[in-house]
Order: sequence, then C-alpha cells, then structure tokens
Amino acid sequence: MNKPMHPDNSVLIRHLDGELAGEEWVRVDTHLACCPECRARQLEFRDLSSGIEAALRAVPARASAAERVQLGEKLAEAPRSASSSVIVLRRFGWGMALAAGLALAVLLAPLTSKAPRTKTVADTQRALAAVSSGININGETFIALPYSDPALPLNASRIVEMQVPVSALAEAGVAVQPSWNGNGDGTVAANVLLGIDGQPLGIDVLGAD
Amino acid sequence: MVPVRAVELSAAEWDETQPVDAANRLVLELYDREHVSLRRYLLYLGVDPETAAETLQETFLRLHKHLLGGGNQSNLRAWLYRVAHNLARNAQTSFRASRTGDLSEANARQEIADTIATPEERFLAREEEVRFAEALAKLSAAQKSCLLLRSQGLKYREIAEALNLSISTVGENVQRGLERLKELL
Repeated sequence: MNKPMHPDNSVLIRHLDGELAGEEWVRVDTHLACCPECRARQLEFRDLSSGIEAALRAVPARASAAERVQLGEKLAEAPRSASSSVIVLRRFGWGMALAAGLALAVLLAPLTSKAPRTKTVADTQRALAAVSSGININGETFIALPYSDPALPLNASRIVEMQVPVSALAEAGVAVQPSWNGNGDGTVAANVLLGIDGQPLGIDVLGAD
Repeated sequence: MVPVRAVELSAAEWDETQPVDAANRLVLELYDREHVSLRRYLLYLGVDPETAAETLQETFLRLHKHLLGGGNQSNLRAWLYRVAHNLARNAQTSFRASRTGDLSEANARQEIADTIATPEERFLAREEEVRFAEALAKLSAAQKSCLLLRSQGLKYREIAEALNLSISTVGENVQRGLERLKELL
C-alpha cells in the first residue's frame, strides 16, 4: 500500500489560515485527521502564529482621546477645505478644464463668429441640447458639460463640492461675476456634477443667480 | 443632491440623503474599530509613535475623501493598511531594522492581561514577547509585514491588496517567514 503524500508546509499553513477551499481543503483535512506527523507540524506553525499575535498585542497602541477629537474636527472641515478640493480637482483636472472649456465654447457660440472647438459634431449637438435646458437635479440647476456620456444613467451621478480657481474659469472663457469671488483666495465654490463615468457632467457655481 | 454612491455598505451604515454625515460617521466608526491594530502594525514596523499618530490621522482623512469621491468600498480594511503603510514608508525613509529595545520598554508599560495571574507568569509572557520580537526583526520586510497583517486577521487577498503583492507571493512570504521563525526560536 502506498504511503499517503504529506502536504508541504505551504499547504499546511494555508489550511491553518483557512485559505484552502473545496477538494483541496477536504483532502488536507482528511490527511491531518490520520497523520500525527503533519498535525504536529501544523501545530508548530499555529504556536508560532500565536506567538506573533501575542508579541503584536504587547505593543501599547492606545490613542489619546484628543486624537479622536482632532480627527472629528478635521472631518467636519474636510469637505469644504481647499486641500480636499485640490485633491478632487487633481483627480480629473484636465477633464474638468476641458469640459468647462467645451461648455463655454458652446455657450458663446451664438454670440461669436468663431465656431466652438468640439470633438465631434455629435458632441456639439448634444452639448447645445443640454445647455439649452441645463440639468436639473432635485431643484439644483447645473450648466451642462459635454464631457460625460449622456447615455449613462443620471441617477448614478454624484455631486462634489469644490473650490474652483476663478482664473481657471476665466481662462476657460467663463464670464466671471464679482459675486463668484467671495472666498478672497481666488477660488469660487461650485458643485460639480460627475457622471457615472467619473467625468464632469455639469457645474453649478454656488451663490450664482 | 445626488448621493455619493456607497458600494457594499448596508443602508444602516450609509445614509444616502446625507453623504457627508454618513462618511464622517463611517470614518469614525472604522477609526474606533481599526486604529489600535493599525497603530500596532506601524509601531512594530519601526515607525515612531508621533509619526504613527500623524499617519493615522492622514490615513483616515484620506479615507473620508475616498468615500466622498465614490471610491471602491469593497475592502476598506485592506485599503486602510495600504494607505497607512505607504504614508509611513514615505514619512520614514526606512523602517528601523529592529524594535526590540522599544518593545522591551513598551512591554514594561503594558497593562498585563487579566488572564495572566502571577508575577512569574507575567515575566515569562514578557520574555516570550521579546523573544518573538527579536526573531521577527530578523525577517525580511515583506515576510514581517505579511506575518503581522496575518496576525491582525487579514486574509491573504487583503494582505496582497494592502502590500501590493500577488496572493501567491503573500503565501510564500507567510510560509518562509514562519519557517525562518521556527529556525530562530
């Protein structure tokens, strides 16, 4: 009768860690039930693991109550802070700039002799259609940006409040209103509607009429 | 306002009508649940306590942004370890090779578990912890990280995600780390 193959250390450890599944788990489990040698080998690994856990638990790692309070305060400020806005802006910086530029070009198209720069005719038509009505989400109206795919479902969109540099708006050709520069740091608060594809779908400058 | 999407979170955890409040609550809940384990992990890697505290604050603030940005919420624990690990690595150009001395001091200050009844048992327990700490310090950084995260209850796929390794590499590091510890102890 052939001697059963003993599982190697890797298999015994993965069995110990619950990382085996299906037939492999059954095979090793059955083997362990009748092989004291492998059980002893696995037990050694279990004891070593317990030792690591104990050594790790011995590290004093309690936080002061002040740390949690500090985190809570930072969280309360975070959504409206400039730093978080910068990070969000960085996520899709050029996409938003491009979208704003495209939207502006479409907005100004009827007033200028220059044709707006758009990727395709279809984009232009789509943007014009959207701009004519804007995007209304729960009573909030966004200037449409022809960047996100309008075929995607709107109910999966999300809105991110951020500080948008006024200079970026000006560079994009947006007619900056005095009331938009209330932050005193060259930025204006705006809600940016992001489509399900993560691209800007619309923008609502907060405080603008 | 259209709510920030919450993936794989129950309605009880994520109030779609108040995404900012929901994110704040979830971050603090995760902080309460995970900060001790995260801090221990960082300290054991050789990060000094002050840097560990700063790293944790930044990690949870990034989690907040991650949640509000509609980031993947399928495995936030692995996400936390990955961000904390990377932030700490950046903050300290290299983890100290050994924390044995610090751990001895730490052990002396540690409140002994209720289950350890006598002074002799307490002394032996501390000796054992120091012995393990010394042995762990001799492992490679990857082996040590994998074993520490495994000790925190992370599955191999979570460790792989946290350390940006493949699952099979995690398995190899766990196996070789344990075999090395067996030789050393």
